[in-house]
Amino acid sequence: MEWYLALAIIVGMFLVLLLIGMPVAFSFLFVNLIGVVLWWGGTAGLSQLILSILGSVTTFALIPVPMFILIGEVMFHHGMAPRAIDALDEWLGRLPGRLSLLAVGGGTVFATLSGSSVAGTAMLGSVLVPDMEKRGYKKPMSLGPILGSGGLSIMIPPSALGVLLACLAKISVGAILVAIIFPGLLMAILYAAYIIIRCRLQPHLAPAYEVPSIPLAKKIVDLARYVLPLAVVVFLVIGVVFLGLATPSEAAAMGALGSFILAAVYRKLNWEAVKKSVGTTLHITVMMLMIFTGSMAFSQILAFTGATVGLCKLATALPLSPMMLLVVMQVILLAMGTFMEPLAIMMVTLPIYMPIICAVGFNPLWFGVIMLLNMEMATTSPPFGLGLFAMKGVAPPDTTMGHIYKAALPFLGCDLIAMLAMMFFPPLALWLPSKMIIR
Amino acid sequence: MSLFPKLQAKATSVFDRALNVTAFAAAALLIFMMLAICLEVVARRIGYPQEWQMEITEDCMIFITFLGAAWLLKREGHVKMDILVNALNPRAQAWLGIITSVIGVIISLYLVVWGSMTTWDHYQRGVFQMTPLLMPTAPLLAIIPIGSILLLIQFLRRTHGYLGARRMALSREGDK
Repeated sequence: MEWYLALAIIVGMFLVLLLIGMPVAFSFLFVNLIGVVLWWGGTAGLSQLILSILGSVTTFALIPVPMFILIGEVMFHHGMAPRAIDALDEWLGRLPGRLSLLAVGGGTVFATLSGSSVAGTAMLGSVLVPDMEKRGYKKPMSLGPILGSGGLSIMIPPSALGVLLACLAKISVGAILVAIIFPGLLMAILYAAYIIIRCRLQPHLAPAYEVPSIPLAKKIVDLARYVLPLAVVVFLVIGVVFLGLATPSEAAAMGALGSFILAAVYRKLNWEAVKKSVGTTLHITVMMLMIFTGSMAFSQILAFTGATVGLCKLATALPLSPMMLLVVMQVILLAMGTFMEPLAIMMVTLPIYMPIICAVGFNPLWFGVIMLLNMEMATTSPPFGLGLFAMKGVAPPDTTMGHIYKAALPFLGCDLIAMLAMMFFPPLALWLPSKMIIR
Repeated sequence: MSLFPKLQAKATSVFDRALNVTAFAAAALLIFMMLAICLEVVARRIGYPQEWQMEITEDCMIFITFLGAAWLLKREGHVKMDILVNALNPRAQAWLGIITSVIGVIISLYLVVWGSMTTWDHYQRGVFQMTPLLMPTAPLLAIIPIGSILLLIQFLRRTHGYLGARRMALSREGDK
């Protein structure tokens, strides 16, 4: 069978399964099952598929995924994350668009905790938007920051999706966690700058309201008490990896234990909160690992049918410069993001993209960071991005898709600026990892 | 209440409890992983590196996945794309639910049957991992069919649930 026919069968079957509401994890397993029967010598390959399921998830490099989620959940359910946001809120004072800025910060935290930016968007849209509108905030400043914060969540470590991308692309987990720091900070600055400038130019979008005056001493005490310890946990996770003191998996486990210790120090540690934190961590971990069980066999089947080599040859033979090829690849990812979850997109495309990236001589780490940013842009891209529909589902009834598109576009513009900056100035992503002490 | 519904209710409650027990075991493994890795970091710093933690914690990942898979399915927590499905009428939604559940039954059956055969084969041949602990692979593989039996039952329950939803949708349409 020709490789393009095999590819059409594999991708077509997968898309049909997704469209009829089959869970992503079982869609991959079913496609693998059919692929094994068709191309791996029938029943002989079925035992091999079982072994590939075992091989896909028993990887030390994947351990940061549950540990990062656990850090977030412990901080959230023990009241540490909300108190930190309140402490930051005290510092915003009468800054234009303060609730929008807070939504970006809160959205980043919640999206990291929920493990899915789409779920984070749905949760924050239902909680924050009505309150913002009550205070007179218009749609661009209520819906937009929440949609934008999803992208920020995966570009600021700890990023579980970053770990998954590194495992699928066979690049260093530690390096990608360090590489996303500067692009993530750039995005945060761009978002904040956009909100402040637009609110100064059009104050009616985010009317100022009376904020109780808080003494400077209280602000400093609250910052030291509620924000700095959390920042220390996050910096310890990345810092020990950067300094080569521990592997990313070890750093993540220490961060998780550190967040439990912190909860105990705050006298917030209790059985109910522990149960909720661990339960939600298990929920997200099993969801992600179950999808991952199909990863090894899926890429092997694609390679076995000749689709990987065929597409690689086709891409390198196209009369396109490597940079144009990169742009085309990003556009394809954006299109896929309109109907698929980021992890599923990565599993389908990385086995094909990585050989092409190596063939044209790009740095895989640099490509990984750009792709990670694209994954989140894709879910908030009009007209069909999943995050946009999640927002429509929970936003106040008078919200139209037009409002949501208009609110999302400026933040997508900020993401695009960050992406272009990375494309044309690779040290933005690669300089910090080059200073790492490799373990 | 006749005997059959009573038995059904009892079986349902026993199965739900089994799912909670497996989820609890998976959660305990998560905490164990965290503690084991931290212990290794400390032990290495004080000059007593352990060899077991890396291997054991990687192996925990397959146990967590398959101990939690059926529990998560019961909570409908496996991520899926439902934009198209939600736009359909209840009868069509029930039909798609039946189709996806039957596909799930096929996948689970495969995992149970081939998972058991592969486990038995590895046990008989005494296959072990080429790692410092030289752990046998059969106990690791065994969790795939064990977890998949629960998955199979849950997919069958899901099919049954959607058949009921289809009947209800039909009767509502009849009332109209």
